[in-house]
Amino acid sequence: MGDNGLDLRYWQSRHVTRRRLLGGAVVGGATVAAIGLVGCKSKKTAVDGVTPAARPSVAAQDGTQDGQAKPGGILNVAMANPLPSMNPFGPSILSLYQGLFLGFTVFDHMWYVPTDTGVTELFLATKVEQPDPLTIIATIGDATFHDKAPANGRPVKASDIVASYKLFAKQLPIGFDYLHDVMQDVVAVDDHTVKITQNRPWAWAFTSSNAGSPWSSSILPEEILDKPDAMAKDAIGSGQWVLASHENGANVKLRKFQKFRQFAGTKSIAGQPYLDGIDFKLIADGAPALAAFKAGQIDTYGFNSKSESEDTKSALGDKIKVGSDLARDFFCLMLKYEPPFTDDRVRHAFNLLIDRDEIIQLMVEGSGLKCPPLPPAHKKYQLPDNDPDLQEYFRHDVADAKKLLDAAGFDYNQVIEFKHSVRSSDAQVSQILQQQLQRGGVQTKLVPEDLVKWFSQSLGTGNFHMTAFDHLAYEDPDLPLRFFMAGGGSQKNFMGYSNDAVNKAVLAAAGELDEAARIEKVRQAQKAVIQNWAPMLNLYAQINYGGRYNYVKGSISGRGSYGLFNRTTWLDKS
Amino acid sequence: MLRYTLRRLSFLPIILLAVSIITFVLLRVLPTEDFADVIGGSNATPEQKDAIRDKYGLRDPVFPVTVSGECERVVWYVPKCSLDGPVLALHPHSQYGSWLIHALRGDFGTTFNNNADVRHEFIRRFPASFELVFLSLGFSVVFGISFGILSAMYRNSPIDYGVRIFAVLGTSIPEFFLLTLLIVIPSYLWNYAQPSGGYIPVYDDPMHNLRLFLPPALIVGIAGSSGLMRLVRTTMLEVLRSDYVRTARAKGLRGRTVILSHALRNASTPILTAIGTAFIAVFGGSLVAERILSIQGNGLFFFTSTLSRDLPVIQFLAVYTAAVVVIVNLVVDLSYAWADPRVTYS
Amino acid sequence: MATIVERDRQLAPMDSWEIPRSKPWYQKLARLAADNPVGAVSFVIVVLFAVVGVFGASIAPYNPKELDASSQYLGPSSVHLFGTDKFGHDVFSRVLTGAQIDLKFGVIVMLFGFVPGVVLGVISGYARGWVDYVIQRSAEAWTAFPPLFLLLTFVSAFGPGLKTVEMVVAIGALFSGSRLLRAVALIEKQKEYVISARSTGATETRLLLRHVVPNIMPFILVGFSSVFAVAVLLEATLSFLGLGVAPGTPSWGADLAFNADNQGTKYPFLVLFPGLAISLVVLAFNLLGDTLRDVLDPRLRGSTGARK
Repeated sequence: MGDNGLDLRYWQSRHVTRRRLLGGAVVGGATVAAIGLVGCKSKKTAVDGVTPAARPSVAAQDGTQDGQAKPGGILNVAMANPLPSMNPFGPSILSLYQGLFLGFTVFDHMWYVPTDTGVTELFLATKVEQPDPLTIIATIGDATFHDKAPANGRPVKASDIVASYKLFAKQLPIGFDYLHDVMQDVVAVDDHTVKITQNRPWAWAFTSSNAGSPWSSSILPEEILDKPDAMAKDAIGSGQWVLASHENGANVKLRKFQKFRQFAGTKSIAGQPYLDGIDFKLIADGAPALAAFKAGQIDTYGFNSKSESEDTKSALGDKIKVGSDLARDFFCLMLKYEPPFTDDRVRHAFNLLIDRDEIIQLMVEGSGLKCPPLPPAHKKYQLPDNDPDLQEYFRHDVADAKKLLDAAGFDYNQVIEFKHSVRSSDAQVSQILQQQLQRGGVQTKLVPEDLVKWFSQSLGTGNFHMTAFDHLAYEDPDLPLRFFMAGGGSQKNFMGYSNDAVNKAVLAAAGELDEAARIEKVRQAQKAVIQNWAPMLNLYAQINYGGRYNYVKGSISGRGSYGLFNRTTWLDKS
Repeated sequence: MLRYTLRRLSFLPIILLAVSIITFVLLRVLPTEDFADVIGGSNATPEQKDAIRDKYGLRDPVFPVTVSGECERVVWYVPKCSLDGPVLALHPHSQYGSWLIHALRGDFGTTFNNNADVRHEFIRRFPASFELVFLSLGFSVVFGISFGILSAMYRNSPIDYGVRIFAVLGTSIPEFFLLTLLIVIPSYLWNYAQPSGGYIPVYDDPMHNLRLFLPPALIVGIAGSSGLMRLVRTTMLEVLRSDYVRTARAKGLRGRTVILSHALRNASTPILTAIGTAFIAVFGGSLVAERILSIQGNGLFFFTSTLSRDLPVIQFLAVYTAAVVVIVNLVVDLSYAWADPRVTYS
Repeated sequence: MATIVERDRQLAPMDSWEIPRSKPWYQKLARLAADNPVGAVSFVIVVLFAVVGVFGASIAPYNPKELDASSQYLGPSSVHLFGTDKFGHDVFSRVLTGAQIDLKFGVIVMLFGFVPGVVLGVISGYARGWVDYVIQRSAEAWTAFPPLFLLLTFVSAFGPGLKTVEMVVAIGALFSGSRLLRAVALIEKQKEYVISARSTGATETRLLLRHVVPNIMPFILVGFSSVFAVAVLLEATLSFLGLGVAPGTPSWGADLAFNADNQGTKYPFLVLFPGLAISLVVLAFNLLGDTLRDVLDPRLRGSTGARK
C-alpha cells in the first residue's frame, strides 16, 4: 500500500494504480504492516501557506501488540502482476519488481533500516563495527539456505554475501551509485565476517537505498550466481519464506522456512515466522480485488481511496479493521534544466502556480500531505512547519507567479512539451498540473508515453522538458535528496542540473555520521534546495488506507516496508 | 463434397502463412522504434542492446530473403535501396525462418514477459475463452433465430416493432457500455460483485462459473444477435410468402410445422451465413468482455500482449484468429449443403 | 397465418396505379418525414450531433478541462446538468466537447476511407477482371476478422493513439465501401437505362457520371451512415480501452472508462451519460441508414414496388 514500483512489463494504463504495481507482497504485506488503528486527522486547509500539522500520528506497532502469537495458518494476499522472473538481480532495472518481492520474503539480509526509527536493525549480522568512518565490519550468525539444489541447505557464508553484492553491482549500470561509487570493496574476511570499505564516510550506508536495500542486499548462494537461467526459474535464499510454487510468476505460494535463523541482532525472533505460509492470488484489477477482499478470499487489501475504505468498513463492519499510513512515495514535477527553466524566477514562478492543496483534494479527496523536498514520511528530518523557506515552497500565488514570469521575460507563446507515463496516477496529476499552469498563462502539451519507454528513454536519459510522476517509496532520506544532486560521482541527475550549494549541502549531510548533526544538515540541504529552486518540485504524499480481517494479528505499522517481511503476522481464527 | 472440403482446407495453410508473414512485417519490420532501445534505454551500451536482442531473438534478420545493399526507410516505409552485387540475399538464420520451423513442430516460442511457453499459456486460457464464446454464441443464435421468427410471424405487430427496436439497439449500444453497467449497477444497487479468483470450470463449481460467465455472455450474445435477428426476419418474410409455403398451408399443415420444417430449411443459407458472422462478432466482443471483467482468457491475453509488445504471443494469436475465421467460414459453407439439399459441391 | 394471406389481397391492383406527378422537393421531404418518423428523428439527431461537434466547445457552459476541487462528484443539478466527475469537470460540457472528437474522427475516416472505397468499388464493379478480383479478395479477408483484433494488431505495430485507430478504421471503411458499391455497380451496369444510354453512343465515363452515379447515390448515403456509426463505435471502444485519445481529452469512451474506475460504482450517472451519448449517436446513424434503405430499396416496399 503506497509502496510504489515501476511496473515495467505491463502497463495497463487505466487500471494500474500505484497500489497495484508491486504486487501482492507489497500490497498485502504493507497493508498488514500499516494497519494501526489510526484516526487520521482531517486535513485542515492551508492558510497563507502554513502547512497544517495534520500528520497521521501513528503509534508504531511492532507486531507484539496482539499478545501471544499462535503459529500456523496461511495468509491469502492479492498480487496484481505475475513476477517476470525469479532472478532478483537482472537483467538491469527490469528486475526491480521481483527483486523487491523476493527481497522481502525469500532472501535474507545482513540488516534493515525501518523508516521511522532510522535505527539499523540487524538481521543476519550479529555484530557490526565501524573501526573508522570508512570501514564496516559485520559478523554474521549461523544460518542455512533453503533445502533446494544447488545450495541444499548448506550454511550461509560470508563469501555468498560478497558474491551477491558484486553480482548486483554488475547487473545494475544505473542507480545504486553507492555500490559503484562510495563502496570501494566488499570482501569476506572469513566464513563469518564481511568487510566493506568505503571511499568516503557515508551516513546512509545501511539504508535501503544502498547496502541495506532488500533488492541489492539479497543473499544468494554462490553456486547459483553464474547461472542466470536457473536464477530465473527458482529463488533460493535463506530468508524466512521458501518459494514453494508459482505458475510462471503468478499465484506465488510461500511456505515457512523451518530452519530460518532464530536470532536477530538485539531481540529474539524465536518461532518466527508464525504463519505456515502466504498464498498470493493473481488478481489484476482493482474491482475484483476489492470483491475478493469483501468475500474473504484474501485477508488484506490496500484501498484505492479513503472513501473506498469507508464504504468497505461500513459494509463489513466489525469483521475488518481499517487503518492508514502515510505513504513514502510522492509525486513531483520535474523540469529539465534548459531554457526557459534555467532562470530561477521561472522555476519559482512554476512553483507558485502549483496549488498543492487542490491536487491533494482532487487526487485523494484531501487525504494527503504537501511534500517538501524531503517527503514527509521521513519524520525525523523534516523542517519545522514555520520554517520560512518551507512556507515559501508551499505558497500558491498566481499573481506573484505572473510577475516573476514577466520579469524573466517568459515567452507565453511557447507550448512546452509535458511528458508523462500512462499510469493513471501520473496521467491524472499531469492533467491537473497542466490546468494549474494554464491559470498563469503557461501553455503545455501533454505527451503520454508507454511506461517502459517513458522510464528508460525519457526520464532515464533526461529526454524531456517537463515530466511529472510518482516516485518510488524510498525508505530513507538519502535518495529523495540525491535527485537534486549532481557531480561528485554521484546519482545521475535526470534534470541536467548542478548547483554547488545544493551539492555541498547534500553531500555534507550524507557524510555526517552523528545523527543529531545529520538531522540538522539534512534540513539545511532542504533549505538549499528550496532557496535555489532546484528543478524538481515535490507535490504531495498521500495517506494510504488498508484493511485486514480481524483474525489477522501481529501487524507492523508505521515502520515502512519493514512489515513486508511478515514475520510477526499470525492468524487467530478461533 | 469431400473434394470441395479438401480443396477449401488446402487454402488454410496458405492463408495462415500469409497472415504470419503479414504480422511479422507489421510487428518487426515496420515499427520505427527499436525494441532494444525501448527496453534498455538510450543510454545502454551496444553490448547491452545486443544482449537484449539476443535474449528476445531479435538479432537475426527478419526474413530469410532480403534485399541486399544499403536500405534506408523513406517516407511511407518504402525503402530506398542501393543495389550493387546480388540483389537478393539468403540468410540461414532469420527470425521468421526459425519461427516458422518451430511453429510447424508446434513450438510457438516463449513469451517475452515471463518466459512462459506460448502454447501452454494459450491452452491454459482456452477454457475460459471457449466457454465465453460458446455461451455468447448460444445466446446469439437462440435469441436471434427465435426473435426473428416471432417478428416475421407477427409482422407489424408490437412484437415485431419491439424486436426490431431491440435489434437496432443491439448494434448501437456499445458492448463496453453495457458491460461496464453490468459491473457498476449491481454494485451500486446491491453491493454485488462478480466472483473473482480466476477461472473455475463449470463442473467444479457451477455457481461460481455461471455467475461469472452468464451475464457477459448474455450481453455479448445479444449484441451479436441483432444482425441475425433482422436477417431471420427478412428471410422468413420472403419465404413465408412464397409459393411452396402457401401450398403447405393449403394442404392444411399447422403454422408451426410450416415454419419450422419448410420455411426455416429453405431460409437456412443466409441464416447460416449470419450465424457465421455472429460467431466472428462474438469472438471479437468477448475480448472486450474479458478485459472489463478480468476473465483470464485469450482475448485478454492478446490485449495485454499488445500493450507490452509481446511479439511471440501476438503472432501466435494472430495466426490462431485467422485459422478460426477460415474454419468458421468453411463450416458455414459446408453447412449449406447439409441444410439445403439443392446445394451441391462438385 | 391469416395476416399474410390477407395482405396478399391488399396489394394494390394494377389499374390503380397513378402516374407520379412531380411535387416540389420540400413537399416530398415532408412526406418522407411523415412516413418515416423514426428516420426523421434520427436525421435530426445526426444533424444535432454535427452541430454540437462543430460548435460544442463554444456552447459548453464550462470549460471541460477546468478543475474544480470544490465540485467533485456532484450529482446532476441545475448548475451541473450531468453532474461532475473526479476533477470537478462538468460532465455535460465534456459530453458536448466529446462530440467534436467523434465528429472529426468520423469525417476523417469517411474522407480517407469510405470515399476512396466508394470510388474503388465502382471501378472494381465496372472493370471486373483481376483488378476486381484482388480488391474483392482483400476486402473479404479484411472484413472477415473481428475489427477489434485488427485494431489491436496495428496498435502493437504502430503504437496507440488516435492516428493508428483512424488508419485502421479508414481501411475498414475503404473495404466496406468498396464491397457495397461494387455490388451496386454490378447491378446498375445491367440496368435498362445504362444499356439504352450506351446504345445512344455515350462514352463510358459519361455513362458513369451522368447516369450511374445519381442512381447509386442513395446507396452511398446508406453506406455512409452505417459506416459512420461503426467508426464512432470503434473510436469509443478504443478510447475506452485507453488506446485512442490522449488522456484528459474529452471523449465519450475515454470518459466512460475514467469515470467507471473513479467512483463509478458510487455515482453511476458518471458512467451513464457518456454511454448514452455514444448510444444515441450511433443509434441515430443506424436508424437513418435503415430508413434510407427502406425508402430506397424496392424489395421491401411490396412485391410490385408501388408506393402506398
